[in-house]
Amino acid sequence: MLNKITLADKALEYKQMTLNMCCNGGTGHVNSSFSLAELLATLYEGGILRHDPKDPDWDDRDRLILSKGQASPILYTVLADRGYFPHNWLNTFNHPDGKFAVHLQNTVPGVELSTGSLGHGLGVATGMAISLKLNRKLPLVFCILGDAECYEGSVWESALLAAHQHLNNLIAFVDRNYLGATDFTENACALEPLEDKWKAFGWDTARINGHDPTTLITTLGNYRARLSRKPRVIILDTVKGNGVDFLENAPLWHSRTPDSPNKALSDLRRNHR
Amino acid sequence: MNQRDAFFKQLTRLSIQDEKICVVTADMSAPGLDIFRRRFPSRYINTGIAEQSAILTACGLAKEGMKPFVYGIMPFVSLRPYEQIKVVAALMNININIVGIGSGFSYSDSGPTHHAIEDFAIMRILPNMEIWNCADNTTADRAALLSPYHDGPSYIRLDRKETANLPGDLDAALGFRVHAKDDKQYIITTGYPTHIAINSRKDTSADCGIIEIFKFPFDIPALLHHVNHKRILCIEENRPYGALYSILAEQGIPSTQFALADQYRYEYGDRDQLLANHGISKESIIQWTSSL
Repeated sequence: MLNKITLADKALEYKQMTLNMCCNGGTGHVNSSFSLAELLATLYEGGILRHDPKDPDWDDRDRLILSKGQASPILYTVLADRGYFPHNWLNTFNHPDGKFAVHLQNTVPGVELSTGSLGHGLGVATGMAISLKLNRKLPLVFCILGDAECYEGSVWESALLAAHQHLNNLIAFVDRNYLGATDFTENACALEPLEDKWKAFGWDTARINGHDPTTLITTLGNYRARLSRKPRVIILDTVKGNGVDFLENAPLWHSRTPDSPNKALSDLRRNHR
Repeated sequence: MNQRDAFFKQLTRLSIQDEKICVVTADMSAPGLDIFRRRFPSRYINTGIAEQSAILTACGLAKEGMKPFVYGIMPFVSLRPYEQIKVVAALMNININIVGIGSGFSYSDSGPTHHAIEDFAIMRILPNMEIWNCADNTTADRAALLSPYHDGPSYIRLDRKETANLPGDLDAALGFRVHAKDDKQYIITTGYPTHIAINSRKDTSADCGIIEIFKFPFDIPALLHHVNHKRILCIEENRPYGALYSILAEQGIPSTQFALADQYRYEYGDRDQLLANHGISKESIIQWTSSL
């Protein structure tokens, strides 16, 4: 388990690997990936997620569903880094003989669910959490949603059911980077007050800085021994393209990849504290 | 007893031995399902009228080893959450069982919102999907018995009204049963029109074979063994495109098609009358079989 300062370093490493992989493959949602770097570092390296890279289907593993499947590059990077598959698979991102490309696929070790079409992850996570409870199993289900994914009605159908079923073994994260595919969410169709919406649907909520591992760990707290019967959502205030000046908060970079990683890598190093 | 009660009666019986069977209903009930609900309350999940949630929840349950049955009104449990069925269930080959009530014009009093006349075409094109199209209680019972053990998603189409039990063995590997044989001409049909086809034989001296396909995909070579080079009438309670006639055409089996008109109509009343309005009736069938 890494300490909190090292987690930030690890997040930087993930971003660098993701950038190189996407530039090499000529595609990939770099911006959507970067807003999740610290969360994934905290989950996978901060001792939060119970998992075993040598046994991806371990029955007692925590389930992690990345519902915003366009952020697959950074999850692939994390999984390679943790040893779920050989590191050189990353070199074949979007190659004809490669293992994966832009959207997440469950044929990759460590990936629970194929995603990329939005709005499906929370419903599946809900079903998994119900099943774990029915069968008196202890693992938790984590589900990472995009904020613009919350436009999908299916998210709210599932949110209703999860609360009604008292799924306190379900923890959702919403990557609140304020950007959809073409515009800022509050310009397109306002999502705020987002936390109040989740609260009204019967969830325990928190809203924190999603780029700070210390806050992430503190907020998750004693998450395995929660007394509340409610599912929990943690809204992560993040910056899309975080750490790269020309990518940050730039709507038109949603699904684009820089031609060369050099400028972005230089920004990442300079902005890393 | 109607098909859904026959179905849930068998499912409840099966659930005593198999603790993994559960039901996810989009707020749809049936007397047979009430028995399941009372007996296995923790394995009964009502999502409310939220079919996307029902399909996704079932997929999550199945990923954890449960054998879920999603139940709802047919067009709503197929067309509305189609993308969930495609992306989650079919793409990842997840073992969920989708049970729709109201094949074709079953909801003959409810109009086009409730008619299930497009769902067969869109479900059958999904890889990994098997379809049970039930014409009677025996088939519904068999679908309940076998579908939880199919490797992948299943779609079970149940009629709303009571239907007479048809004779003949249900060989699931074959996928069809032969109700009558003939040397020269055959009716190939599925679901409720099978009853109309069988009844038509009582009022004519014209000979005609009848084959009912109850499970898709079915054994095409075995079907060809019966119908190859014979005159064929395809009768289906579907829109004209993408369903049974198309399946036959894809296999190089030419046929004449009796299907529903290629338009939406607000029409209500007796189901047989509705079908007759679309050219599917005992009389039209006899006219075809007698015209050889």
